[in-house]
Amino acid sequence: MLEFVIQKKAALMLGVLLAAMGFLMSRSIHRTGSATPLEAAVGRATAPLVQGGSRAAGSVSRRWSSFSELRGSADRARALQAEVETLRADKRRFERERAENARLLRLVDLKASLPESTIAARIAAASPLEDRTILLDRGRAGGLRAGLPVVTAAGVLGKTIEVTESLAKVLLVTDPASGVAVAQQDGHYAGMMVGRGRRSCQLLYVPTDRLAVAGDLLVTTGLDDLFPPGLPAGRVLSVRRAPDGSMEVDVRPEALAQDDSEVLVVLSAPALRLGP
Amino acid sequence: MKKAIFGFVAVAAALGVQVALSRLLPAVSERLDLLLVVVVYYGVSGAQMTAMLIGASAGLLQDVWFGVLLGRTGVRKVMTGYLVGAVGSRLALEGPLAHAPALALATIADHATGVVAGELIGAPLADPFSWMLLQKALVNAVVGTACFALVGRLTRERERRRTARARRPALRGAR
Repeated sequence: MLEFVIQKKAALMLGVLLAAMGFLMSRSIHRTGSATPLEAAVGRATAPLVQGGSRAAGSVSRRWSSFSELRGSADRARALQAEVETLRADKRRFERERAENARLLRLVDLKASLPESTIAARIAAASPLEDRTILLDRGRAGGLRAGLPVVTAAGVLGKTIEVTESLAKVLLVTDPASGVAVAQQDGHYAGMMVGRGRRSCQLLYVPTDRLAVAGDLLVTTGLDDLFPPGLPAGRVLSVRRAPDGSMEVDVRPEALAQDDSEVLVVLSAPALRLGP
Repeated sequence: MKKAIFGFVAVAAALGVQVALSRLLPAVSERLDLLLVVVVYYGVSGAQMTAMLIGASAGLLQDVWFGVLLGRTGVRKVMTGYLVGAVGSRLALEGPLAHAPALALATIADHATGVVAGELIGAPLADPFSWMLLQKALVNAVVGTACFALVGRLTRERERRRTARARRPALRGAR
């Protein structure tokens, strides 16, 4: 018996680990919003790593930016040249700051236009997996919880699915597990925008007698009881008719069209406005 | 045991670097799985059990921070550790010419396991098979081979110093 175990130890270990993973999946598949105890424990233990990585990236980025601006310093022996370079660097910084201000202004405008209360957050990391998720730099301590819509100035981005003390995981609208109730801007047709991985979505349940056209802007309807109505969700990229007569509508999410690093988390779910 | 502890530290470091990369070079981060590189490192060195354990911890970490379903990436990484470890314990996978294909094939095996597991549990992966997979295989192979070469060089240097240090008192004694 012992000899058998020693001979087959790798296969036995594989079986044990796969069974453990299967058990975790079975526990995880039925959870609603809150993290399992193991996830919470691992999250707490490794949160400093993730935050450290994110902060290090910010620091490297700033230093690289300064380094890039100083690379030509050898050529700037003459005072006039140095002054010109400094002015150029200032201009670049002002342009960067102006772009950041514009982004923040758009976010402030969006915040003001939303009747729901919101919290601003920054993107801390993006998933390297096929699961389309990102991490935000705010968590429970910042007032976030699972199941909150996340939007950018350009449109809807996703929803929070797990929240630790200082970070929040967001499932992007491009993940196949995501769905957003949308309608064409003028209300010609409505459907469900479902993720398809990478940077695209598809529009499902569009009535076949309604004509979707490439370039149509889709906005949220609020019928999913998650996203506030009227927010830009995506733009129709292409429309094909499938052999069975149904429409295949490719959509590019508006929020992914721009690389915003600041987002708004909507704290209160929209109230469904039925009737007059 | 020592090997496994080093492995867990490497996984933790890989997670930090992966997070930093996702902000600094998102296009590279999307195509590079540093935690898989760590699993393959132990696999090609023939430490099959360690590769599986490291795979389980790496997968769990990725699931906790980036995954939707806890355990899904764990299954992928455990299977990859098992497969690469099985090959690594039978064949001498040494040098860039063996490491690069091993990393590329491990990337494909990792993804294929994810696709099969996704179909079995009714939660299919977003990108079943696409050009992206080949790009990932290529990037993992290039970066992973470079990392293996660097770690190999550091290990050899440490061994050389240790041997030199051990010889010195012996020589003194002989005199």
